[in-house]
Amino acid sequence: MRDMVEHMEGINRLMARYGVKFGIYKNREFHEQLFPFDPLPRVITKEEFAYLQKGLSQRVEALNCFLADVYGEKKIVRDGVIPEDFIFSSKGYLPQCEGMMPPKKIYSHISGIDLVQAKDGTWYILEDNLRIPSGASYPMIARELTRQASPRTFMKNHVVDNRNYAGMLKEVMDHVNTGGINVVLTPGRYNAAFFEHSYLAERSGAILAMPQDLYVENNRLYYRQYQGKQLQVGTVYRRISDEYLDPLCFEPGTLIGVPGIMDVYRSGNVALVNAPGNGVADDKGIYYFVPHMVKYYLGEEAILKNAPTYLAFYEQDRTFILEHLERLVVKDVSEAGGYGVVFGSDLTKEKREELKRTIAGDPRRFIAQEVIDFIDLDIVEGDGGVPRKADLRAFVLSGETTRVWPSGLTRFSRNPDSFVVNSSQGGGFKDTWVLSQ
Amino acid sequence: MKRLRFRYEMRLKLDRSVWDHHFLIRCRPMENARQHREEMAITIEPADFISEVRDGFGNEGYAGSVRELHDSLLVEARGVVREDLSGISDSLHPMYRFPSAYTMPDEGIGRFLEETRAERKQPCMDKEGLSYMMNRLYGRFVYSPGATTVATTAAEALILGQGVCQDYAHVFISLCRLAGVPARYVAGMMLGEGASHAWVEVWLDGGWQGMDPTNNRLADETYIKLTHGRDFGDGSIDRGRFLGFAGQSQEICVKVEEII
Repeated sequence: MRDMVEHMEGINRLMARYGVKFGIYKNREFHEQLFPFDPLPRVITKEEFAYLQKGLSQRVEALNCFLADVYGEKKIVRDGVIPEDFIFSSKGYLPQCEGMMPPKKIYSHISGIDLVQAKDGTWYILEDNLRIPSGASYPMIARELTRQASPRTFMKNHVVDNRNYAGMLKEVMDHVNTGGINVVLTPGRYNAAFFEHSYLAERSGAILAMPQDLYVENNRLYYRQYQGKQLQVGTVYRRISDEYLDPLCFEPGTLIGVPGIMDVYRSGNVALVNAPGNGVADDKGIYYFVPHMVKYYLGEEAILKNAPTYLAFYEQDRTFILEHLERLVVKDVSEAGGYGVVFGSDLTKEKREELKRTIAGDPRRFIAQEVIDFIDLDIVEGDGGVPRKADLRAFVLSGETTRVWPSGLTRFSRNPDSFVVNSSQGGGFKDTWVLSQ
Repeated sequence: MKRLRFRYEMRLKLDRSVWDHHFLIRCRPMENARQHREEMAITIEPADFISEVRDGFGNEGYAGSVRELHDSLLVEARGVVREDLSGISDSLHPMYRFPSAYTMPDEGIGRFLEETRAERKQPCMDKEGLSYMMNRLYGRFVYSPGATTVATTAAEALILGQGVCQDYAHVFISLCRLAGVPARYVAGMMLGEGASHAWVEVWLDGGWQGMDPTNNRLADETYIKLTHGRDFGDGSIDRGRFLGFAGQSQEICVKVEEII
């Protein structure tokens, strides 16, 4: 372990050279930041991982059933399990996707589920990310570099190899492929996550494509080859958000989309990974209902718990929120990435009253949660270690089967007083070790 | 029951040549229990290929592209449709209950609804109430081409107090949904000669009822429906994207006549 601490600086320097960065867009300014790596890993035991694997697969299976239902029969609304407000007025609901059935009926192929572990050891789900969850490349490259820096560490400890992520990704892409090559669609090299796009394409044997490399003809999608040969595309792992994917279907002004790709998709002639429209299943409002979905679709109790959540939409919950605001964390369901999150305890009395009025005026917009006192992990600072709040993004891949990648992205907050560990709020990451025995 | 013959022409003129042009033209009258497409023919010039497409709202159209340099796109569609409002209405999708990008209500929309209710001393959720509200809007809104753009929202249009059929439709949709009546945006053609038209359908007594706030009347069998959606963003008749820097002007010419 001492080896790894010693190599911390070197590893971070190498990562900077590879372009392991992410971008933040805040207050109308775009900043690109390095994502600092801390060499002390989070360690998950074999038993604990088996438990997480079971709970996460269950959750993602229920979410996939929900997406098929929302864009299909809508039974869950008809049966009164979820009020239609939380589905059809959600920003993530895309009516353009009504009646579409993605290849092999999979909507969320790559799910990034964020969890925290409370001090009593209980794991809680914080958030589901079913659109384009990013970040798998960070622990992949970190593992690669630390193995080089300190091979002994990996000989002494029984750590499950996490370098199979690309293989798992390829299996998913092959499974849903409608006939043709696999491509990773990137908006281009000025995108802050370009490192991840190119890295995943290279490792999974897919072609890295820019939007202008793809075109639609006769209801098929092709990759433009300069030798003049047409190459049909069967799977697109697209790293472009839904609204920019197709100017003929969504935002008309987009230049990074592929015109007509949605018609090809609707005809079943290409697989899009992940399916467009998934945003309806991962916003902060629908989160409340995920345990209900597990029960409704799978007939099982949810293995992994949500953080205790109150929905201002329900009168009883609203009263509770307004009475206990000082101990709750309030989240605006229309915001993402750590924005729109307010801790009641941080507010002055006037601000708290103001927030109460806002909640009462537009209850559909807000959820409130109990603050979970989650565990600290040590990070290296100076010559010693200091405890910082950390969460875990687990990657769940759905292809022929649903599997959890035996690793994950552990993010920590650099600010000792902060509970917000989202990378867009500044912070770093750790490798996540799953032990094999 | 009425039989209508229609012609829809769209000319897109570009002042410089463009390439890699992709388009979606939805001038194909929707087929349902109230509207039957008896004949339909279309020519699009130039086009490398054209395919028939259908979207999540049930709208039909033609998608295609032009790879080579060109400076115009001409669309000519002709056909005959049979309109029969005694047919069974299609069902209600819950998305039409909620505000959409163009129809988000603001204080002005809310005030208009409150005033209407106060005048009429009723909640305005039935046909008479909605007709009253439409009439009130008609009396306070001036038809004025050029006052608004395709990006103007319902709230903005009501502040301006003027606009075109798209704006009338957006304001009315916003009011209906706020009043608790599901409503959707319809683009299409009406009897006579002129441009394409936009109106509203409201969900009343288990069926869709067409209302045309621009003309302050109910939509009858002289209206041909092309698309519907939450608002103009979903229901626009044509969309396109090309590469190249060019100014563009678009001319739409519609003719509908009754076959007796």
